[in-house]
Amino acid sequence: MLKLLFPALVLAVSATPVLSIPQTVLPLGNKLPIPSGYKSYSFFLICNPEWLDPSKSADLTDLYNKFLAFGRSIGDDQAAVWFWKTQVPQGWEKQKSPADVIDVERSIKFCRAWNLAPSEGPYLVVTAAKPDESNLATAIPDGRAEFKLGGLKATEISKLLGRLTDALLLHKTELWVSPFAEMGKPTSAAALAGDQRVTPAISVGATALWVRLLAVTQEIVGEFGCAVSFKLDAGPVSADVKPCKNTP
Amino acid sequence: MRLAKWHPGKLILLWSWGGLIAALSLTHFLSTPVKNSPGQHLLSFSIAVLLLLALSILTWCWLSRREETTRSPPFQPKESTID
Repeated sequence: MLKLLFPALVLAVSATPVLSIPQTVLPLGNKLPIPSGYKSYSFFLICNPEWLDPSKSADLTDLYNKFLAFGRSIGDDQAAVWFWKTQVPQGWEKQKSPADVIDVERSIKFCRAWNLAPSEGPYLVVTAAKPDESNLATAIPDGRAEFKLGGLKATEISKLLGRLTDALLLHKTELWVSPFAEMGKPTSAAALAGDQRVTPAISVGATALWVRLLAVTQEIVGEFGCAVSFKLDAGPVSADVKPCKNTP
Repeated sequence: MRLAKWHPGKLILLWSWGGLIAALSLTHFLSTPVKNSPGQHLLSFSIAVLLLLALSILTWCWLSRREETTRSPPFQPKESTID
């Protein structure tokens, strides 16, 4: 019954829905939790406020339309989530700027918790399980694929969404294992779209404890290397290691 | 080929090459996110740590053996006989 009630595309808006888009769409209130019961969740995350600039309005509208089509094509049992913060009538793009309707703050919470650099977004994150929004950082869902869309052209994004639709429909939750996401062999959104130029942004599967420990070690060693300064002057040989500076 | 008899130059050579390899491994370990290739990162980190550990142990043993061999036995004057 739940599958009939909740659409493939879940739009989160603040109040009563006024959207009159296809019947598979059921807009939800702004602070309403992400519904349970789906086989997969595809989140469109806009964490970079630059995307809310009026000059990006056309691109964003185009992206939204593509994502809307994607959400409808993956079926009723798989959710596609785009966060809105206000009432969104159809044709909103003619009346309002994206900044007025898109809930960037909510997306930012996801980006922060999942360590997604805002500058490289927007992101399309597909998860096999519903993320716990109240505890995003520690409760990272098992089976997660991240796609950076920032460096992709509109045609590449279309290809990506097309192939992602194929993967979700044909392989169901095996998306994170195959056909394009192999553990330890990152695959790019661009590669998925048939373009090998852009480097990858995908993380797959549950992160094992040893991998997390290794990542922490890397962080500690990296921070230590950035914190110390070292100078060696032994006559003919001299070396000077200075603390690293953050580049803008 | 006793360790204690090694010329210090050998150890300097080993430390130079070992340090270089360890530095390259550590650079590889730090340069990319672990989640991209956890196996390779584990290998790089292990090489760096084990190499430095092995060189440290080798140097420790070399120093210890040298201490043993250079330690002079207690002085025992020969008994002089007066005919």
